[in-house]
Amino acid sequence: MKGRPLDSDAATDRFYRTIWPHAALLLRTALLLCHHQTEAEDVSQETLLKAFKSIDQLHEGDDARPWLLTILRHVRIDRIRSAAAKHTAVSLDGADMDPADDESPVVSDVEAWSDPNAMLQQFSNTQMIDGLKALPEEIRWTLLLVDVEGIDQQDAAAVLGVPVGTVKSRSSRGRAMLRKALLPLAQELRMVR
Amino acid sequence: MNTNPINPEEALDEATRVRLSQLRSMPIDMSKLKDAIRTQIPQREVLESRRQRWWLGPRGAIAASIGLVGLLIVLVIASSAGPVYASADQLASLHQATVRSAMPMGSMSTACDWLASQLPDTPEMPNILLDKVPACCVGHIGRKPLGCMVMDVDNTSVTLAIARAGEFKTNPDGSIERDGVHYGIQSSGGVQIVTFARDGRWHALIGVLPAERLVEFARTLKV
Repeated sequence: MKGRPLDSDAATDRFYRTIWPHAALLLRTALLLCHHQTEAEDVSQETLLKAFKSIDQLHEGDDARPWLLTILRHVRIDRIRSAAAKHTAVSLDGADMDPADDESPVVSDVEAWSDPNAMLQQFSNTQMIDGLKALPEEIRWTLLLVDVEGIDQQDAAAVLGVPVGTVKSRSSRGRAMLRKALLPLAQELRMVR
Repeated sequence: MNTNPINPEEALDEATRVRLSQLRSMPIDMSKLKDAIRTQIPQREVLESRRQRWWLGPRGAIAASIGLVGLLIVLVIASSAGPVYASADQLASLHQATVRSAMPMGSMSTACDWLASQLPDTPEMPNILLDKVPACCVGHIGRKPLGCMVMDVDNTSVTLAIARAGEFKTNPDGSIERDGVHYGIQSSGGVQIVTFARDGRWHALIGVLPAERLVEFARTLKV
């Protein structure tokens, strides 16, 4: 049900009531996807403006987060494609689509992480983010949605356009890949055997 | 959600998920995005000022009366939804997470502006005179967010967590009464916690200081 387009005042009011409270979520997600603060701010801004223009598509009472994250994902993909076409300097690191569903078995790392809660708490946020940024884009998207933002797996699957089973397998694989990315640092800090 | 993983693989997965979820309360600088959006989308304040002009008329007075009754109904419903229980362990963990991840702010007003942008529904921080700049972040107990600020009291990091009055409840081990305000006292692993409600806010002061000192500090917090 789309309904009539909102008038300008109503749309603005609704934007600041239902969309703006999620601006931090969008910027945080963009910061964890992009490699530069300015690029992340541009992506978030474009997402918010697109959301404002099509705010009448968001049903009253619906959780706005999956809808906004879907817009953000399209903005990000469009920018990656556009940059690839123009060979500009927008970061494409890890944007390859998609070794994420590689079916090779994940090697168990249980023995290396004797006390995972305590050990993972020793990493700073910056170190965790560096680890995340080392992962392929689709894996990173999955971890950002499911683990960082706590989005329901069903909603995450809709945002990513994949089955729920794929979200589950990417989440598990992504966490293992993140630990693998953190392992050299953990060894350097003498946290792991 | 299963919080008791049954095997080491699941425990490792769960620990990774928990650590990633903590990035959600990572402070971020919203100022540029806020400025850009406010420039391109008419500001809410402009709409509000238009409405304020309308309120001046007799129709506005009638609408205000109806609105007031509506607000009271909403408040009654909201209060009946019940507060979230915050245990001593959760508040001590909140303190540790806040000290670890809070972002330093240039001034008290910057800190208040940042928290207001992150948590528009949470009351403003009280006015605090500090020798050193505070640091802020958004903390969570359950799914409920709190505005958190780390400050220096007697050369010790103390967290002040703020929410609306009635949003959280605790089970204090004892209480101290000062000037008609009851301060709930509890502790976890050497971390002292003082909770109290005042000026429409729920406060928690958390740190490794004697509870009496935290209460004395609480009394200095102004609206």
